[in-house]
Amino acid sequence: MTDQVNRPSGMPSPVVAPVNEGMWRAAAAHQLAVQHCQDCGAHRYPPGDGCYRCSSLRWDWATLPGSGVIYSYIWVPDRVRAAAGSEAAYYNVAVVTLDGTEGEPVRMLSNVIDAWQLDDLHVGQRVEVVGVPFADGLALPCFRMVP
Amino acid sequence: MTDFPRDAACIVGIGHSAYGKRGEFGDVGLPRLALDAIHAAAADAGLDPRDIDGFTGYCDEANTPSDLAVSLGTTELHYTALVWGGRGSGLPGAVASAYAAIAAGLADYVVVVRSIVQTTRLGQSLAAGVGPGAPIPLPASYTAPFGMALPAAIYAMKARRHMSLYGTTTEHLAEVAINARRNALNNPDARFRKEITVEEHHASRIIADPLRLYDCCMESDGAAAVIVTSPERARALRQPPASIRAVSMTGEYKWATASFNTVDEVYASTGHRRAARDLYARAGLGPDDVDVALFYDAFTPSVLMSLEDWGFCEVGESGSFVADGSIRREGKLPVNPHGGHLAEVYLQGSTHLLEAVRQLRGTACNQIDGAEVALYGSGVGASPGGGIMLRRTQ
Repeated sequence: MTDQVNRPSGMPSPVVAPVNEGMWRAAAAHQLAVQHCQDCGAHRYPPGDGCYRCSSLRWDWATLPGSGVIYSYIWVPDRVRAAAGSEAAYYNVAVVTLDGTEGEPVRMLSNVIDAWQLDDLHVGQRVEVVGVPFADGLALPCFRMVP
Repeated sequence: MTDFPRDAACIVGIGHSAYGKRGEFGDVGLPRLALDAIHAAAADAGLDPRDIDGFTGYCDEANTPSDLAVSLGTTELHYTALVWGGRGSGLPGAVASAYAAIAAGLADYVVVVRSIVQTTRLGQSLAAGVGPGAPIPLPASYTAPFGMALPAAIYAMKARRHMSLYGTTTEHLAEVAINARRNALNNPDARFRKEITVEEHHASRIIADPLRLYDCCMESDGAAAVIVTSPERARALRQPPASIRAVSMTGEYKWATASFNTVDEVYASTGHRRAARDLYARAGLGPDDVDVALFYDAFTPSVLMSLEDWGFCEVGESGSFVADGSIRREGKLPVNPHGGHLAEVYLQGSTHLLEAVRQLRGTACNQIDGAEVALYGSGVGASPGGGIMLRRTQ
């Protein structure tokens, strides 16, 4: 992990499964995809087999604009980097409300990879998706700040 | 909900094992810890342990009821149940199950037991509890890869939102920890009997900003148990029964394992506003009737949000509520007068239930004068959590 991207050290990769593979593939192209109900049109996240609004089991992938707003965030000491003497000893975890969704607001938990200091983030900050690869053709949907 | 059969069961015995630090009792083992707690509860009740014929638990309790029954000398095991979901917030479900079993005549004396040996840290089990390179559980794929790996992080995320919406401060969080430590000074069983100041709280290291070390409990080893029976059977026992006025385990909408997608209105909460509504309706009592509150306080924001969820102040006003000294044992709503998880021991709410009973008996270390009604409220977890209301009977 280079210090060019503020991501936590030593975290596991996700399990790739039919309910989530589309989002990892979209993120590899720096796009944001979530599940979309084929019956009522509601978007949903985290991935699941049924629609919270109409119970339908039929869904497909929908590509969203990729932008969003920080809903909440935390900063966590990165012990691996701190032990190595890095000044960037904190990573962030942010909950982002995604733009362009149908139904109840959809929020995604992720990292803002260009935020380094404890005062870099605030609730209401606008962000946009950026993929951080974890395997060939697969990436985590992370975010970066929009000026 | 108004036809709920109130006071159909009561707590007649309470007990606990020794309390230790994480991993301290690994050699003792979970069965012995649970049996220590159950024997203590039976002795407290004046009940022959062989008469216990039911067991309920929560949070994937690792003890096996049939094995406990053999070690206790139970001749006929009539009832067992484990709460499905809820994790550490599942205590009300376990009490509800015991309550229902007693009310329905499925068993005579049901033990609610929780035993913990922290061989692997709960805090790391969400992510790093798996071996390096090993796959994580599928639902953790949306949290663990991003470093959302600590229970503290869940509360920190809610606390940040609460601060942003309502102006809640770290001083408010500190007051919760200060109150717990202050109360534990008089509790001989407490693990942390040293007061802390706001300055010490703010100087403690960041765990998950905005939470610091003193916003967090310390993981513990130990076991606690209560014995539930009918009001009729209670008359033959030695303690004044603490009546279970009502119990609820109602979940909040969309309160799933990934609670970052709960609806906006309840995000900065413990997820218990519907559980509170149901508990108060079933009990025929409200927040004004509560003399002492026992809130799940593994992390300080839990107490602030609980005060709002259970109706002791308006949503968003818990910060000023605690700043006024309201949760101190001299305040208008004493909270966790035993020291809670933050200062006594972390056994996932079970020790809070013991304290509720002690308060109603009038035997607590920081006794609240004239305590007649005690409330237990669970913390943040996937549903079901819930609440328990106990009432003094004499």
